[in-house]
Amino acid sequence: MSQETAPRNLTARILRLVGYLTDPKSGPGKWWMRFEGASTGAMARLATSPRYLRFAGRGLQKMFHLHRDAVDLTEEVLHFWRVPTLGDFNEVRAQLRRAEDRLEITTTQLELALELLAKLQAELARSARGAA
Amino acid sequence: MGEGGRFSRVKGAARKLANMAEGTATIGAAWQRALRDRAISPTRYLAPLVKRATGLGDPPVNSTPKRVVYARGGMKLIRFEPPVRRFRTPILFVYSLINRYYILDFLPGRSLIEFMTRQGFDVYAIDWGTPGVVEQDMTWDDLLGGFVEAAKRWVFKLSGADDLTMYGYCMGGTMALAAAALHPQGVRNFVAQATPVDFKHGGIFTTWTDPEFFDVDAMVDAYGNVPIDLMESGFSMMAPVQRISKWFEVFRRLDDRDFVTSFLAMEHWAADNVPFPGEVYRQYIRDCYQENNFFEGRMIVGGRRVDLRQIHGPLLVLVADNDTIAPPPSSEALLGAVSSTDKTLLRFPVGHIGLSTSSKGPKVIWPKIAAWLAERSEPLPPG
Repeated sequence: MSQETAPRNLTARILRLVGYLTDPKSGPGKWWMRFEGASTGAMARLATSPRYLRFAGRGLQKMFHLHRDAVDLTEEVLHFWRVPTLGDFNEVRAQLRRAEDRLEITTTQLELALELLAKLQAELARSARGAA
Repeated sequence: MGEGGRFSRVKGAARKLANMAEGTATIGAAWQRALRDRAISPTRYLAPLVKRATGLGDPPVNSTPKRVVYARGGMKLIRFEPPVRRFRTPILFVYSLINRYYILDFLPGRSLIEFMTRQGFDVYAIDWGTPGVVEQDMTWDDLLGGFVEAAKRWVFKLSGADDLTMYGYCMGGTMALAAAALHPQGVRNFVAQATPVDFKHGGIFTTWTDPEFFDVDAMVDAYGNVPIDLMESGFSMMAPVQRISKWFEVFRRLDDRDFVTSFLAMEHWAADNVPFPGEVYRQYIRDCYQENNFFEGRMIVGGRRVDLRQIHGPLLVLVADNDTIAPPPSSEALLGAVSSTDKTLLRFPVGHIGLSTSSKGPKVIWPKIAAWLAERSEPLPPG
């Protein structure tokens, strides 16, 4: 494990102070540990409570439906005015990225094919020499 | 004090001020980007501070020499050639659609892929890329019968081998198992690392995705692909306070550069999320978590039933004792689900990610995997 000279800039000093205040060995750190333990326990109970999950699930479901309706409505209005929507831009952006990817890959595959051809050529030349 | 001394003190103070201003500007710009992206992960806000405090740059993740050898859409097949090849049988890594594949190529000296290449294996990995609009309607069949099968063909072409070791990790393991069950040709060995199989024992995710609580159709219909922040908030729920408090230990150990580098590397990877392709997610949640069709042989992909009994070759199941994503009973169930007679189970006292990134990896875990593979791979004559 490499131990090096402690960094001395202002950011390091501030972070070190936060580190000290939350260190389990320091006074404030003990309070922090107690808070962490209590909140973790509470969150674990919450995350597995069927009542909470049912409530959160219903909330999420409503949010999904609302999101879908809002997107549909916005796209309809924008398309009516023949204005491109975020979805259209995203599609063009995705297509451009694909084209860029393909170009890069085709170049690599060409390089590979050339390499394989060169290997094949060398092998053929070797076997021809062997036959001679 | 002479003129020269005073001048150098002023120069020093000016340099300090300029340095501080530059640092503040860098941190400010990073925070601005994080706020613009509405990032939930604390990494986006705290990593710039730690980098500034330690003077460390971006961690050197994913640095084993590689070449992209095949691509379809945004998906890529990447080859990692060994310095000296000792085995004809190549390894094909299939990683999950959650996060990026390079956790398998973590840091120099702590990279599973680098380790395998040094053992003489010709290694390939699938990078699923960042799904966009085009991938929304992609199905399991497009992934398995399409991309994975094409990747296998390219692996055979480039390595000169007739068969390979399929190595699945996490959800990638579930997908790779389905691929091997549907298209067993050319799969010589199978390694399932931290792979959820029996979703009845899927832990907290099985609870959260219960159809009573979670409407997967509403989510996919609303967003197309599952957005990063929705996935992020799910992971945050697992340990919300620890997500912040683990940074405090870093603040206390700023002078330990190895520790800070590996911490930043891990956080960099964890924050580098990608959206989940919508239709694949819908089927994954329904057939795996909600109805357990995958394990019970009822999952249909491309009109065919996924039957794990179609897997006959040697099987290695790797289980992490402290895994909360793929709990041990969920992974171990695979041993009884396949037809293989050569089956090995290895358990290690680490967490889900620890199998690929723990400092125990190169010393304890990976040598055992490499030895298992070496026994079951076709050797190449020396020279």
